[in-house]
Formats: sequence, structure tokens, C-alpha cells
Amino acid sequence: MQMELEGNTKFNEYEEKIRNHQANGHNYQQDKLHQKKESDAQFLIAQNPLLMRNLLIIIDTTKSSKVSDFKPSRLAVALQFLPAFIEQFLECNPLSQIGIAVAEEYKCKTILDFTSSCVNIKQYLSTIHSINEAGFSMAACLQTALHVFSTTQLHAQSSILFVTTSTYSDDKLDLNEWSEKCESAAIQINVISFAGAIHQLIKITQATDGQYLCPINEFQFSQEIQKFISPQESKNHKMITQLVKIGFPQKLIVSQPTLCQCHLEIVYNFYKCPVCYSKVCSPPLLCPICSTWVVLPHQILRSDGFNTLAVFEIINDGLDHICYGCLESTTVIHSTCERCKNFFCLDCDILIHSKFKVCPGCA
Amino acid sequence: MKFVIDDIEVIFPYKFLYKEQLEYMQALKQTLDEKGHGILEMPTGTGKTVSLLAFIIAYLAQRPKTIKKLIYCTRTVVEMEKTLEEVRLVLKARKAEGLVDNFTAVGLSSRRNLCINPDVVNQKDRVDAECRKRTAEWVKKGQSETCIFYENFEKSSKDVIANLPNDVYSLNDLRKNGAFSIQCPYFTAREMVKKANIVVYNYLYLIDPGISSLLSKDQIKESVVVFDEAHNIDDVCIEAYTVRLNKPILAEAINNLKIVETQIQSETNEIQNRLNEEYKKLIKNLENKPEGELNQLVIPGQIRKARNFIDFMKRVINSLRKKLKDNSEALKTSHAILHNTKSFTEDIQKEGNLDIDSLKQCGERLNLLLNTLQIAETDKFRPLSTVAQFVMFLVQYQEGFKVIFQSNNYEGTLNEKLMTLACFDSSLAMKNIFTTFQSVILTSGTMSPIEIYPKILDFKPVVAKSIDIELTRNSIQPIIVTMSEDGTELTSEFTLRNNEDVSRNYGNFLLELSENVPDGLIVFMPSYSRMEEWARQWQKDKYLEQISKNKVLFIESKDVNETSSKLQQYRKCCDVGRGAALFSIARGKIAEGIDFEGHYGRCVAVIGFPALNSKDTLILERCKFLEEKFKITKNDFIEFDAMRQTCQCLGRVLRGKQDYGIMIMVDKRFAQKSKLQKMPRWIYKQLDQSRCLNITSESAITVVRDFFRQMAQPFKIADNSYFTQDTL
Repeated sequence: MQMELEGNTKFNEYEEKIRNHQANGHNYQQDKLHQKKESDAQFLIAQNPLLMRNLLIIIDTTKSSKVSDFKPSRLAVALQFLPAFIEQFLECNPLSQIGIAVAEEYKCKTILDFTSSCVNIKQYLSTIHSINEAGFSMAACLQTALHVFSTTQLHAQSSILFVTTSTYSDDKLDLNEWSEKCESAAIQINVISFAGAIHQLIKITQATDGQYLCPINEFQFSQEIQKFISPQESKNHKMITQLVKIGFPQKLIVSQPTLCQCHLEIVYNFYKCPVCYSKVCSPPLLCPICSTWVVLPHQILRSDGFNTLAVFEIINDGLDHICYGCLESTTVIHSTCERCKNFFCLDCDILIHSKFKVCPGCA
Repeated sequence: MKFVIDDIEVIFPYKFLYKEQLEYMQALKQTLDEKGHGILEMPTGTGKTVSLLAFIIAYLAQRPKTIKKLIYCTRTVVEMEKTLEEVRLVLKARKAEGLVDNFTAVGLSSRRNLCINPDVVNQKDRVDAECRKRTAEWVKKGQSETCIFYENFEKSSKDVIANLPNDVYSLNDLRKNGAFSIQCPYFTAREMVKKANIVVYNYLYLIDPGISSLLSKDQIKESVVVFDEAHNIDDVCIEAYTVRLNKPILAEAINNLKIVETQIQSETNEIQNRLNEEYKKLIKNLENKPEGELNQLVIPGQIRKARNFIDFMKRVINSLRKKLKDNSEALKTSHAILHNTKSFTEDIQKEGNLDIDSLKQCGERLNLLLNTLQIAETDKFRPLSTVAQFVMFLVQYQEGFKVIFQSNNYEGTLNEKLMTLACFDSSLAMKNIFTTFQSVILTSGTMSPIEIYPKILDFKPVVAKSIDIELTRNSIQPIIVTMSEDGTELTSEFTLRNNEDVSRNYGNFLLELSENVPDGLIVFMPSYSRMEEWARQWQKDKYLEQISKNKVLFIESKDVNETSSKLQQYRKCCDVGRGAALFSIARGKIAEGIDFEGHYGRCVAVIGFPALNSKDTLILERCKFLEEKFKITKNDFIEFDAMRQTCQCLGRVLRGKQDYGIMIMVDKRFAQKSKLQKMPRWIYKQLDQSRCLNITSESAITVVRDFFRQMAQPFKIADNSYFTQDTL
């Protein structure tokens, strides 16, 4: 009975809200405006890309990752929010790659080399599970990371994201030595921890211009991890100019299963390297056969800071316009693209800035 | 920064002034204005020392008629050096403000800390004796080894010392100056203490009856005496008046006497001459004695002659020996034997045919004799002087003393019997100080309940105040755990000491803690024996092994050097991010005076209630005495003592406003109301009654996890909790 009552009141609330919106269009518009502001802000953050970024995510799977103060467990929470983060990361940094490693008992194991295939990463993420032994070692992780980063390009900014659950770093190696090596290699170290602040780790992150975050609950974890999406300024990073061989691939869709060269997996649609014609599945990547940098044109366009899209200006002239996006008439408030001078309704504006990142009028 | 309290202009060496510091200074001002004594409690790590110094120095400068001198007493040499550095800071700030004042600050310590003679200083325990050998009055002629530093000091006129520039002279400075000008730092410091207006030295210089008499001549009434970390002052007072004797000491004393005797009997003219001279001097003193006035230096006829005195002391020792022997027999059947001082004195008197006046003066007489015989190795004659002290106290004070015979459980030696002249009256040592000086200020981080101190020290404070801490965030989190997950009550009660459930649950709780506390974890246990018992049990159940996976484990030992090297390693482990756990004793060295600032101490756990052993005769007697004289019940006192010890342990963790830490008390007895009331206000205020009081170990761990995540968030001290020059 009580349940029903509660349900009823909830329902009433919603109904009232809808009625309010209809009766008072102003309120509805206010909400939308607010949303636009948020999506614009997000858009601007992602507007500051470095051409290439390599991110290594190291996940602590030792004993303490099983602790269930985050429901269902610390590791599960991390794995729950990481895919969304990775998706967004690759979206905002089109030429970037992500690698995955796990920290186990006194050692660190890379389970996925750098790739920008979101599907692939998600697949590997789902294979991670907690182990029973304690013994998270930061130094061992850094050693592995340095090894992994040694194969990447010099012009890319490299950073590590630790997802730690331990309150200590039990090192057989000298942690200071390895963190100094990272510092001199301009590798940024970031930590998102489930277990409070560890003095030494904070010091290391500060030395490499990284961040040390410590979310309080699940929701905050999903929020805080967003902070790593946009690149952070790094004093250590030296811009190294290098000529890079680039090829624009051709997309092919076939009916027979085919083995891709990059991950040795069966695929049906793939790209063909323009130099050696080998099949690769997810640009951008380094062609495994001829070492050509295989990228799609729009990826370069977006990550080079060419302005494909600017924040739309709000126009409040009271006139009726047809929205260029959805072809419906807009009233009261609408916005316009500075370059193509087309009008958009707020809904389309938000959609363009959060998802498409290309103005349909200009294109 | 500069500000005015009523009409005193205070220069503060820092840019910020916390609210509680201002409050503290106002309380100080009230105490000094009313020329009375005060007790002030202020949380640890809030800049107590610097506010105290800044204010009193300002007061000294602006009201030179009211007070003339500041005497600052610390417990350890390290604290002394720290204090002197703060004085330097304050004086520097005053100078920067363009104030001209003539302050000289000097630290005084023992010869061992100040000596720079390379031949002497290497001898560690024998520094005092070696120094006396070289500097005593009779060594001047240059027959034996002399100390060049001391000779230079003697030669230079005292004016030079008086004319030293106004500055701060820490122990290090004194040594450096001494090495530069080739003058003895120790004697220079002793000379400087008379003239300097800021003096820093150990408690014992005022409290210990032996040492304080050396300095008493030069004390001025218009002084402020500050006892820092004064929460244990009653124990120090009592210890200073307690004398212990056992069979080896008495045997040694006899040997001492024999040495003295052979010297006296030797036919050398010189010694005979000197003895005669001494005798004549004593007789002369008697003649000069003004009518009706009691002169301390008059030595009764019985012991005026050296030979007679030796005889007298022999009788004293023999009668004490007999007493000890008699009682040792009786000790076979009972735990401890008590004697009233009065009846005990009468017994001894009868036994050895001794008179009271001679007993009273035997300490004085002994010193005289040793001087005459030119014996400098006072450390060798310590047993004899201990005996003299024993009988002196015995005769001098009636109330508040008891003679106790019991087995020696202090040094763990073979079933040895100990005769203790125990003092129970802590007001005895303080009485002198309270009357000699105009203002005495007792201050510490934990002095709750504040009403008990005036009672046991027997004085009337004009200000007794407990100052609160203002925290921007809840950076301390006291937790009281009473039960384990499975419902076992956690307690270190004596009746449950063999209960394996309890110790296993304690071990389990520590394991959980070690997993969830980052960096440093400090665990305090009630006693060594209890720690050993638990450690054995935990070793068996593999808890220690698992804990040492999460943290490097250190255990405090009785050896001071070992402990200090362990502390060093502990800090190193915290520095490299490995994290460390330190198991120590609530009444040990680590519990007092060692700070675990920042990440060195993120969590303090007091495992078990550190109550005094209420079966111990000494403590029982003390409680009885307190009940009779001050109406403090036994339970009240034991609880008070345990709580102040606990709070001292807890206070180790918070060393500043940026700092944070958890304070966990694990015993069901902590949750009782009477114990909670004895907690300092600033800790009690932070105790979340609904979430952290009387909880199980599991929910405590949840609180711990939440706390550390909360504290890892970026943070800034709220603007309204401190003043700057502009906001004042």
C-alpha cells in the first residue's frame, strides 16, 4: 500500500513537472540553456588536444581491490566506469592510444599494447579479475611502463593512469630511482586511488605534473576520472618535432572472415594500409608491417586544433527560424554558427557539440 | 605580525595567528597580571610554545617591574633546543620590527651535554666524575690533570660573561663559543643563568631537591616559571623524592665507607691537617651562630669529627641492613610489607643508637667530608650518598611517605628485595616552587580534567583554562571500539588476559587496520608483558605475518638506542610509500615527546586500557594517600592517570592544522561515561557520538576508510580561523 502511495506521489511529481514545462516555456528554456552551457564547457575542454597521446592504464588487482566498500567491489567499480572513460578519451583525443596493464603480486603485466580500438580495450578489460595476494608495487609498475613507452613515438605525450586500491607500495626496487626515470622521460603519472592519500605517491605525481585524486563514492569516481580526459599541462614535456610517415587507409567490408594484422583477430570490415596493403582494423595505429602511421583524415583534422566547430552564439531576436539540423521551426531562443550563419535549435546545438563535433552547415 | 592585547604590544614571528593562540595569550596575560599561577591546556600542534614565548617576552619588555625573568622548563634536551630556536625566532621578529631590547636567553644542561673537553666527553657515563676530578677546588695547583677549558673560565673575570652580547645561546652555541674562546661551556652557562632573563632548562633543576639547592641562591621572586608538557608533573615530583635501597647498594655503601676510613686513618700529614681544619671550621660556625636562629650548616656534635661520622654512618647502614634482612624473611609469605615512617625511624634509632639531628644533617656532612678528602669520583660514592639521602628524607618528612619492602620487579633481577622510601605527596616538591616564584604556569596538550591538578599539587591557580581547537575540517577522528564483529567484548582487563578470543580479535582488528591505513600506523599497548603475550598469540595465529605484508613492522624495545634506530627506519619506510606499523607501550618512550607529524602518523590505536597496576603496593598506597588528603578516590585517580596517558598517545598524531589522523581506542572501558569525561575537550568534541562511539571493529574500519578518502580531498584552512595583520 505504502509502495503504491509512494509511486503515486512520484508520478504526480513528474506530471507536474511536465505541466509546468508546458505552461511555462521559460523554465524549460532555462533548463536547456543550462544544458547547452554544460555541453559547451565540455566541448571546450576537449578542444585543447595534443596531437598524440599515449595513455597506459595500470589497474591494481591485488587483494585490496576486492574490498567491498565500493559496491560491489573496488575493482568492479573501476571496470564499470573505465569503458565510458576510454570511449570519451578516444573521442576527445582522436589520435591517441590506450594500453592496459595490471599490477599483481610484486609485478606488473601488460595485457594490451597501445591501441585505439575501443571495442578491443573493452574486451580485454572484462578479462581482469582480482587476485588473492597482496603486494602492489609501484616501482615494478613504473619499470613495466618505461619498457612499454620505450617503443612509442617521441612526439607523443605519454602518461600513466594508476587505478590503485592499496594503501602502500611494496617495492623490491628503488621507487625513487624509477620515478626519477619517469620524470626524465617526461612521463606523466596520475593516480586515482580508492584508499586515501599516500604521501610518497602524491609526491611522485606532483613531480611529474600529474594529479592524485581520491573519490569518495562511486558517483564521484565516475566524475573524477573525467579529469584525465583533457591533457594536462606538463612542464617536463618537450615538444619534439619529427617527420612522421602517414597513410590514409581505404575501408573494406568483406563477407569472408579475415585475420587483421594488428591484433590477429577475425574481422569482417577493416582498413587497408596504403603502403603495404596489409589489413588493419582500427586506425589510428602504426602499421605492423611497414610502420606507416595509418590514420583517418577526420582524426587528424580534429586533433590538430583546426577549428571544425566553434561554440554557437545564442540569438534572442524573437523571430521564427527553421533549424538547420532538424528542420523544425524554433521559437524564442536559438543559436547560430558563426561561420555558416545557419540557425539551430538548442537540442540540435547540444547534440552537435557533444556528439558530432562537426557543424552540418559548414560541412 | 604585530598586535596589541589590552596594552601589551606583541610581536608574533608568523604571518598568521590562530584564534586559539590569541585566546591562550589572553589567558596568560590574566595570570601574569594577577601575579598568580595558572594551568592552561591547548591542543598539540597549534603553536603553543611560540605563542607563550612571544607573549611573555613582550610582557618582560613592557612591564619590567612586574616580572624580570622567564624560566622555561622542559622534559628533554631535544625539547629544550626546540624551545631555544623558537626564542630566537621571536627575538629576531622583534628586531625586525625595530625594537631594541636586552634579552639574553640561555639553555642549561648537564655536563654530559655541554662538555667539550675531548678527554672527558668520550667517557659517556663518567663525564660528571671526570669533570669534577679536573675542576674541583683543590686541583688548582696543577699536580694532576686539569681541564684547560675550566682554567680559562676561572681566569677570565666574571664581567666578561656578564658583558656577552644579548643573544640566544643554545647548547650548540655554547659549545661552539666555548671551543672558540677555549672556555668551559658548562660553567659559562651556569654563570650566565644568573644574569640572563630567559632561561631554559630541565624540570629537575627546580624539582629535584639535590640539584635545585645549587640554583636556589640566585632565584628572583619576580620570575615566571613555565612547565611545558606538564601533564606528568606529579609523577616527576614523586620520583624526585623517592629513594630505593637494596642489598648490593648497602654493601657498596659499606665499601665506600671503608675507602673513606682508610683515607682518614692514613698518617699523611696533609690529610690530617685538612681534617683538623675542617673540624675547626665547624666549631667556629657553632660559635658564630646567631642567637635563636636555626642555622642549617650547624653539624651536631655527634658527627662533627670525621671519625665519629664514619662510625655513625656505619651504624646507620647496619641497622638498615638488619631491617632489610628481617623483612626479606617476612616477604617470603607476603607480597609487600609496609612501614610507617615514624615507627621505622624509631626502630632504626633504637637499633643503631642514632639521634635525629645527626640523621637530618648526614647528607650535608657527607658532602663536606668528601670535599675535605678531595674525593671527586662522586659516581663511585653514589651508594653512600643514596643511603644518606634515604635517612635524611626519612627524618625530615613525616606525612606522605611510607617505607615499603617488596620484591624488585623493576629490573627483573633474581628475587631481590627492595626497600623503598616512597613519596606520595606530589605537592611537596612543588610547594617550594609555588612560594618562591610569582607566577608558575603549567601547560600541556592534555591536562584534563583540569580541576585535578590544583588538588594534587596543592595550589590555587588564578587561571585554569582549557582552550579549544578550531578545525576547518574534521581532521581528527576519535573512534571507540568496544566489540569485535563476532560480538566478543574487546578489553585488556586482567581477568580476561588468558582469553584467546580477545587476543585473536585484537590481532584481527590490527590486521584490518594495517590494510586500510596509508603510511604510518602507531599502536600503543598497556605494558611490555601484555605486548609480549599478545605478540606470541598473534605469531601463532599468523597475524603478524599478514600484517607485515601490509606494513613493515617495528616493535619498541626497552633499549633506548635500539628504539631510536627503529624509529629512524620507521620514518624511512613511511617516506618511500611502503608504510610502517609501530608497536609500542603506552607508558614508554615513544608515547611521550616523539612527534609523528604528517604521514608519519596517520592513525594511532590504543589497544587496551593503559591503567596502572592497581595491585601494586606503591600505587595502592598512593591512592590511599590521595584519598585521605585530597578526597580523590582510587578509581578516579587510576582512570585519570590512564586517560591522560591515552590522550598523550593520541596527541602524537596531530601536529598542525594541515595534519590529519585517526585516534582509535579499543577497549570497552573507554566507552564508559567516567572515562569520556576525562578526555580533553578538543578530542571529545570531535567524537561523533552516533557513529564512532561504542561500535564494532567492522564498522570502525568503514569509518577509517571513509575518513582517509575524505582527507585526501584538496583542502584550505578556513579564513575565519586565523588572523593576519590586516584582519586584526
